[in-house]
Amino acid sequence: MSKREDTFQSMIVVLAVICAAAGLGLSATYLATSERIAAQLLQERMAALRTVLPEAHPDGFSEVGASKSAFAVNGRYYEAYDKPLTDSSRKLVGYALEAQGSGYSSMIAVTVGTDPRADVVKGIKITFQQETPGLGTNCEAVKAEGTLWDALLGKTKKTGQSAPWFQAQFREKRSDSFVKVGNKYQNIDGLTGATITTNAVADAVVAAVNHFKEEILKAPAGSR
Amino acid sequence: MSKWATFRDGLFKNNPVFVVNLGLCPTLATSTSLRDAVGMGLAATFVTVGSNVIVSAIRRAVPNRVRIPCYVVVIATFVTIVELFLGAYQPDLYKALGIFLPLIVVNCIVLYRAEVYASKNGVLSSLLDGFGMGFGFTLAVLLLGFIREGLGKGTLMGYPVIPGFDPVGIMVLPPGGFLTMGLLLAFFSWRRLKSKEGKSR
Repeated sequence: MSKREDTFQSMIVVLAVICAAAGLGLSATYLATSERIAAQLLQERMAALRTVLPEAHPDGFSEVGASKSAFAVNGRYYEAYDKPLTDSSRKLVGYALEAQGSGYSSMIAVTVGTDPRADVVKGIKITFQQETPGLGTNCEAVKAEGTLWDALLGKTKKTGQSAPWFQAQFREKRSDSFVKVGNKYQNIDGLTGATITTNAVADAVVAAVNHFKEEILKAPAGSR
Repeated sequence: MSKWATFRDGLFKNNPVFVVNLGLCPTLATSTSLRDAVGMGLAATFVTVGSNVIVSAIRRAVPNRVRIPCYVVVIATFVTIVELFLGAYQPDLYKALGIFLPLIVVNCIVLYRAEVYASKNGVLSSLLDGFGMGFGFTLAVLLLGFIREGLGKGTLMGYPVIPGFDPVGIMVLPPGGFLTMGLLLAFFSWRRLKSKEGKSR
């Protein structure tokens, strides 16, 4: 079988053609998919907000602004109300903060829900992580119902408990109850073999809530 | 070689992990749970097949001395396009695969098959070879995942197997992975040597 000759000219031409084709293919794919991907991200963001503050109305989140702490992934925080934003009788049920922390092998993005005084963590949801598969990724693992044999025989009971256990344990914890002794938080169960991931999430949650409380809530109204 | 033999080769006789010893990094990294193993294996198979087909299709047009950069560009582009489409149209699968998808670009097996086989054979043969090698890789990761998750966490696919089993934690950490891989490699080497002895009698 014959191959194209190895001349300088042919090498440059072929490489250039392949790279150009690759570039075209990639940008075409990007154009075709970027809107959908952005829509997915928005959906995930809204879903995270609803998960961390279930007592808020799904349409009762109002994006307020940017807090500039290092733990704010984009600075976004939201006021959460019990009724849709159009309802003037709505009451504040808490705040939702978007925070981040340096994990073992990735930045971990966490959405944190707090009560109106930012004293109590109402819940968290990890929205992005690329930690070690099988170890750090267990921060999103859901405990299975029943044993392997139940699953194979179709006997699993669906109790609807589908929240990752690691994240669920942050619910209803006061922000001042997060005390570290040595390198270990006393009030949460860590991930096996993934201390860095565990601490990254907890550090981010605590820092975000504390920063929010100090900088935002205590600032005089009108300067927020 | 018949078409069937082309496919079958990658499964056992020429298994990319246990015989050719390629792709050990992703095998070890993703074998801490069966679920991850399945995801990684299928994603890698898809990419190997796709890149084999494309490399085979363009093999006559590529000058010899720039073939490696050409293959790498093709593979990386293919993976990125797959990533973008999955992110847009199959977000759940995309999230499940997570970091494994971009990792496939540096999976030695893909480049190995492109250079050793797809650049020298027809498209159909390359397609079959891609499936064989991909499934061979998948079998290897599954085997390791079965052992490591079963012993290291006491679960399979997340479900506990024997209630009350105290898991051997080290199996899901790197030392356990290397131990398991070493023992499996030794076992398969021994079997190959034995069958060679048997044939030369």
